[in-house]
Amino acid sequence: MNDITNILDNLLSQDTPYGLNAAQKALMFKPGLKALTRLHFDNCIGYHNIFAANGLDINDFTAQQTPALSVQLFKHNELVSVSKEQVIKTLTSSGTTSQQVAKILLDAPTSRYQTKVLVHILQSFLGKKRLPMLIIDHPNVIKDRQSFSARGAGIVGLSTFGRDHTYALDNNMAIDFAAIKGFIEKYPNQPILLFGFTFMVWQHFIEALNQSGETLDLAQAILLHSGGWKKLQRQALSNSDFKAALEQTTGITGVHNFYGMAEQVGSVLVECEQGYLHCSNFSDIHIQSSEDLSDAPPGQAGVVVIESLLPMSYPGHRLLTEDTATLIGEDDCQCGRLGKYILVHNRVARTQARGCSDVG
Amino acid sequence: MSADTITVLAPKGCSYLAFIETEPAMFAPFSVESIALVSEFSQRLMSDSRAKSFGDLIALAYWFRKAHLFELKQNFINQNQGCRRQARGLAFHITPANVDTMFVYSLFLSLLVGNSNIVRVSSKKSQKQDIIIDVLNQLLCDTTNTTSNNPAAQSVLIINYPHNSQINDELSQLADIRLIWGGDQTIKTLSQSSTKPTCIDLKFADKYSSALIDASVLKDAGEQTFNQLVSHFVNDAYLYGQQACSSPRTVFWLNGEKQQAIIERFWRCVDGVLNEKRHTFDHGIQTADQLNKVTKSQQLAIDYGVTFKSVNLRWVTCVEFANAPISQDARALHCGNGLFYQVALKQLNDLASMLADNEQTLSYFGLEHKQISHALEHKQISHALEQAAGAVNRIVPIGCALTFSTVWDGYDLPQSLTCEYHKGNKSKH
Repeated sequence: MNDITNILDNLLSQDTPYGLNAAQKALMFKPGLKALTRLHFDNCIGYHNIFAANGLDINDFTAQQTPALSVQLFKHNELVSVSKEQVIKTLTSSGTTSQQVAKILLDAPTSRYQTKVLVHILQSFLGKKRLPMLIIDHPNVIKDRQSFSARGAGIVGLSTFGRDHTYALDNNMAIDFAAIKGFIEKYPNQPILLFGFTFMVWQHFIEALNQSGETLDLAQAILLHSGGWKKLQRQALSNSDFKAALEQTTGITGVHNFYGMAEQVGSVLVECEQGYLHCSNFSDIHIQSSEDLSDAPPGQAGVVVIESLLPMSYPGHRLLTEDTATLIGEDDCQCGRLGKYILVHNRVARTQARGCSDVG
Repeated sequence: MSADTITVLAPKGCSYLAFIETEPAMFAPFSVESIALVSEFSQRLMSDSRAKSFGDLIALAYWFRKAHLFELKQNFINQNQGCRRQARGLAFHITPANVDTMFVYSLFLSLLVGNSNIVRVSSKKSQKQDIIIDVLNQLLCDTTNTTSNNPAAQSVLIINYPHNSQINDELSQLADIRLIWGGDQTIKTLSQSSTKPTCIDLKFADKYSSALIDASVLKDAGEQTFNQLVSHFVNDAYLYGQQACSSPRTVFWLNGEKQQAIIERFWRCVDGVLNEKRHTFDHGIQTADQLNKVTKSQQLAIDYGVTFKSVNLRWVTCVEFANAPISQDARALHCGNGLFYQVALKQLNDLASMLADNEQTLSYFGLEHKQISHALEHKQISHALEQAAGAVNRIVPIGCALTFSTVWDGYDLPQSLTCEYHKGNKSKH
């Protein structure tokens, strides 16, 4: 446990979460990942079994050999490496593709480091001062227990980066022009923070503005958005379409998408000025071939394996996701940040069940 | 109103309402007419250029060749010496989506013994189903040939419709026999539709199949035998994405503990064949299938302590159970598409205790049929009082798991599709 928190403290003391090149990062990241593997091997029987099933020796293995757990597992099995009394928070991820919900159990240290790392990463984009914050959602999203799990939790989490939280939509999901205009008048000519889920921003903000014929002057604002493009895929909307439409309706040019998941809160990948999602010092990405899940050559789209140094209370430090992405490069992005940078594409299409019980 | 949602696939242009309003035509079992129709189908499919690339279509055509039909007829006659059997009337077939050719076997066996038939096929897109339907339509609709005038041609209606309880009800009311393929869920659904008091159901429930290989024999097998076994096994397991009821999911390795090297080599070769051939199978193996196998094998490790074997292979995921029998819950985690449960068997007599009660096909290599059935019978006698599980429906060589037979899931189909009758004048005696 000390091994990993020492590494995290060391990384948090760096000026920026993007300052280590591949060789420098490996010196900390690999021992960190191995320390987590050891931790979960010793404390989580399910993880122990998976490690052992692979025929690995806990006293002699490499970081690369650490099994990548399927994200789906968290929907079926309760995987936890601390006692029940130590769990202070349960995160759930809304499974839109299945009825089952993933359960992620957090203890105090994991939760604390998640927040610290998220702050460390986002401050490098937003600055250290809390900005006035406009939330592209309706105020009930954090009151309504039904929708609280996924969207509400994200909003509450991000709220710490802003002040004077104002909701841009009313309870009927229509744009609340009075609220927004009041907000703009209150904070003229200064940076403000906008946050929302990607499909909400598109459907209920950008498109709604387009339809209303009105424009807003938010040129000083920075938009953070997340939640994936899945719901927008049917409209074949690209990131650049999204950004162009946003600029046209609001004047916003500072846009940062970020990629994260309930299974690895905190160590998010944030979109840079070049439009790429960057691994920080706290996360790493490997792309597996969509065909056979072997290591994909650089530049080839494939399935994402994502690593994080944060999961201490549950074995989520190396996960096989259902997302596809392309590794664009490492340590050489035009934006100046070091580390791997990627483009995330979409979710792997589910195959239809075709067992005996399927009469189509 | 139900007629609107029903699509008639064959005979093309035939009206559903007209068909169901007509008294079902019945023929004597293995009549000249029905044999002529079915063998004509067989010939046309066999010579269809589109069918050539699909092994299972060729197998289908071959199964219904004229010589085999006469064989079936002779078997039927021999079996029913001294009694008369007749068709039941209207057969309603509910056929599965996982094996494209299954509906034809169901239909033709029923047609051959003289029933009239309504077949619900899957609305899932299938190239093979399209070819079959097309050949059937050539046969049933082309007025320039003699078969369309064959009265047996009036006894076939192939339809599909979206899941609809009203249509299920309507057809169930008309049927004299229902053949419910498609497993437990379909049986449950169809059991909600009431039938005539005299109607009987043939239910094909969810089944599980396994393979048995004597590893010592495999070790001493020549190159050609080895390669042939691999190729047969791949076909049995992967042709329908390991989703056919008779495709092996568990492999029992007799003498497996001492022969790890040959087992490794077997899986390596299976993987190699798939690397070249997988695209020729129905669905290929999709990314989601690969991810499923990772999830399921990890779940099996968590819940049952399995170990992963042959881990560097691409198309084979092999998990070894140290403790058999494999529980029903573990079997329920099986996702197909190249996931194999592996169990080492010290002696053949241990096999029966490792089988479940929904075991369908046991395919084998390196042993004799007799040895296996003897080992299983022995077990059944000794455990008769406990109502021991461990009965299998079929024991066939590896390579024949998907081969159709007239006895399926314990039903002798030609017998079940007919009923015994006595002429009224018998009472005079």
